[in-house]
Amino acid sequence: MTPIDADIVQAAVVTGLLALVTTLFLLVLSPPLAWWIARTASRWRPPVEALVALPLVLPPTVIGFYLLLAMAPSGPLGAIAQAVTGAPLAFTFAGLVVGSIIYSLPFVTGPLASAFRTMDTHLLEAASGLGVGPAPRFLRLVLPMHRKALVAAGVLGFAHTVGEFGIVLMIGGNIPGETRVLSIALFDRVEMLDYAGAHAIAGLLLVFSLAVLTFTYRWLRRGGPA
Amino acid sequence: MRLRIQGEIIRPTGFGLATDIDLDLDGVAALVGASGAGKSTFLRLIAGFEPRAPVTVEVDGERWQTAGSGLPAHQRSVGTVFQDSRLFPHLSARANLGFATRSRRPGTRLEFDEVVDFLDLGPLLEQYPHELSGGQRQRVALARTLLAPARLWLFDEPMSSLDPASKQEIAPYLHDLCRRHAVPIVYVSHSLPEVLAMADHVLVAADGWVSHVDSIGEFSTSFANPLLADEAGAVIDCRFKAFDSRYRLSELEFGAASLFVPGDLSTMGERILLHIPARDVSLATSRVEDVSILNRVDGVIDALNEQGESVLARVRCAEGQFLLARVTRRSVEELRLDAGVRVQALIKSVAVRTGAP
Repeated sequence: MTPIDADIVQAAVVTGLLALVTTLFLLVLSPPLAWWIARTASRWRPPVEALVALPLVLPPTVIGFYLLLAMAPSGPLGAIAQAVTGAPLAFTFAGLVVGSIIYSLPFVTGPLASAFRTMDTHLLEAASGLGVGPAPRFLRLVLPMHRKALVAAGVLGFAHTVGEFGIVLMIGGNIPGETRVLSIALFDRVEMLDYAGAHAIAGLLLVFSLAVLTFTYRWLRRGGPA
Repeated sequence: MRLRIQGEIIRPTGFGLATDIDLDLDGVAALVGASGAGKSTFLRLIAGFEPRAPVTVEVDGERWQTAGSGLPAHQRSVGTVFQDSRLFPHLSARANLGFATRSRRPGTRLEFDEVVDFLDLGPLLEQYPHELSGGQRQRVALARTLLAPARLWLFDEPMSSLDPASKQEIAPYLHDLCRRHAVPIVYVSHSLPEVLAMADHVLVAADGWVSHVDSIGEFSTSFANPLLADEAGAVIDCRFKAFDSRYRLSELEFGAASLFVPGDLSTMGERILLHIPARDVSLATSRVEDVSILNRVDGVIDALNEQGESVLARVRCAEGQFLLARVTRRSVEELRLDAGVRVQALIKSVAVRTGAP
C-alpha cells in the first residue's frame, strides 16, 4: 500500500483550498489595514496593531477556543452565520476560513505595514497635487509600487495557513473533505501509529514549506522595480 | 486671482515662517529668498501639504485652509512642480502623465500634444524614470503638472536641473501659458535675470517672513533685494511715444527723458517695461552730448551700495523710478559720487520685457 492514500489527497485538497481562500481574503483585508497602521497618527494604532499581532504570541488553541465559543449557534459569529446563511459556522469550511484569516493576519499585515512605512511620502504629495484622491492614490500608486511586498506577504500567508493546527483542532472538527486538513490528518496517523502515512504527510508539508520560502526569498532578491 | 495667506507655521525644529499677504495675482509672481528662508514651505501652504498649519489660505474668497482644518491637497486646483521631479518610479513617462490627464478636478486643462511637443517628450514617453536623465525627468514632471487641471501653478525651482539652453526656451513658454490661460504662477527663483525678465509680482522670503513687494521696479532697485549680485539691474516703466521708421527706433517716455529702443514696439501697448542691467549703465557728472550712446537720462544719486570691488549706485530718474549703475570705487572717488549728486546716466543696453505690469 502506498503511503499516500485517498484520505491524504483529500486532506491536501482541503488544505490547499483553505489556504487559497484565506489568502485571497487577506490580500483584500490586509493592504488597507497595513496602510492605516503604517500611516496613521491615531491613538488607536497601538491597540489595533497589538490585536493584529496577537496570533503571533498567543497559543493557537486559545484563539481556537474563543472562536469556538463565538461560532457556536449561541455565539455572536454563529448567530450571524445562522441568520445570514442558515448554517452554523463551527465545524464548517467557512468557519475554518474565518479562523485562518485571523490566524494568518499578522503574517500578511506585518510585512506590508513595514514596507508601506518606508514609502516616499513625496510621491503621495505629488499625486495629490495632481488631483488624485486618497483611494485612487492607494490603488494606483501604493499597491503597484509594492507588488513584491504584496506577493511575498501573500505567499507567507498561504504557507502559514497550510501549516495551521491549533485553531483547526478547536473549531474544525476533523470532518473528511470539509475540515480535515493535512496537519490534522498527520496528527490522526500518529495517533493510529500509521507512521508511513505520517511520514508522507510530514514530508509533503516540509518540502512544500521549504520550496515556497526558497522561491519567495529568491524572487524578492531579484533585481527590478519593487 | 485673489490670494490671501495669513498666519504662522512653526516646526518642531524651531524653523518658523509667518506671512500676511493679500494680493491680486495675475501673471508670474517670483518668490525669492535665501535657501532655508521658507520659500518651499510657503508653496506647501498654498498647495495643501501643510494641512495642520494654523494658517488662513483664501483663494478668490474661498477659504482653503484655516486653523484646524484645510481642504485636502487633491481638492485644491493647484499644480505644483517640485525641486525633485517626484515621478512615479513604477510607471513610464506616459503613465506618469496619465495621472494628470485623468484628474477630474476643476481648472484649466492644457492640450496633451501641445505640452508634450513643446517639452520634446515624444521620444521619452515609453521610458521609465530610472532610464531618464535629471533634466529629462524634470521636463516630464513639468509636463505632468501642466497637464493636470489647475487654477494656479506653483513652481519650486522647476528648472534647476535643466541646461541653460532649455531654461532659456522653457521660461518664456511658461510665461506665455500663464498669460494665454490666465493661470497665475508662483515661481521660486534664485536667478535675478530670470526674475527681472518675467516676474510681474515679487514675494520675498527673509528672516521667517514672506512679504509682497509693490512693484518689480521697486524690487529691482532695492538694496535689500536678496538676489542683488553681478546681474543687478533696474526694471523701469515707460510709455510708448512714437516709432521712427527711418532708423527703426521706438521712442519711449521715461519721466522727462526719452529712451530709444530698436524695433517697432507700437503693438505692445502703451506701457512698456524695460530691463536695464546695472553693468550697462555709466554715470557722468557733467552733461555728455557728443557720444554714440543714444539713451542718456538725467537723475540724482539716491544711494550707493558697496559690493566688493564695485559700487552700485541707485539713481532717481523719474517720479518713484530708479536706475542702477555699476561703477568702480575709483570712479566714485574721482567723480565724488554720493547721495544727492546730479548725474547723467548713459545707458548702453535695454531689454524689453514681455508682459505689461
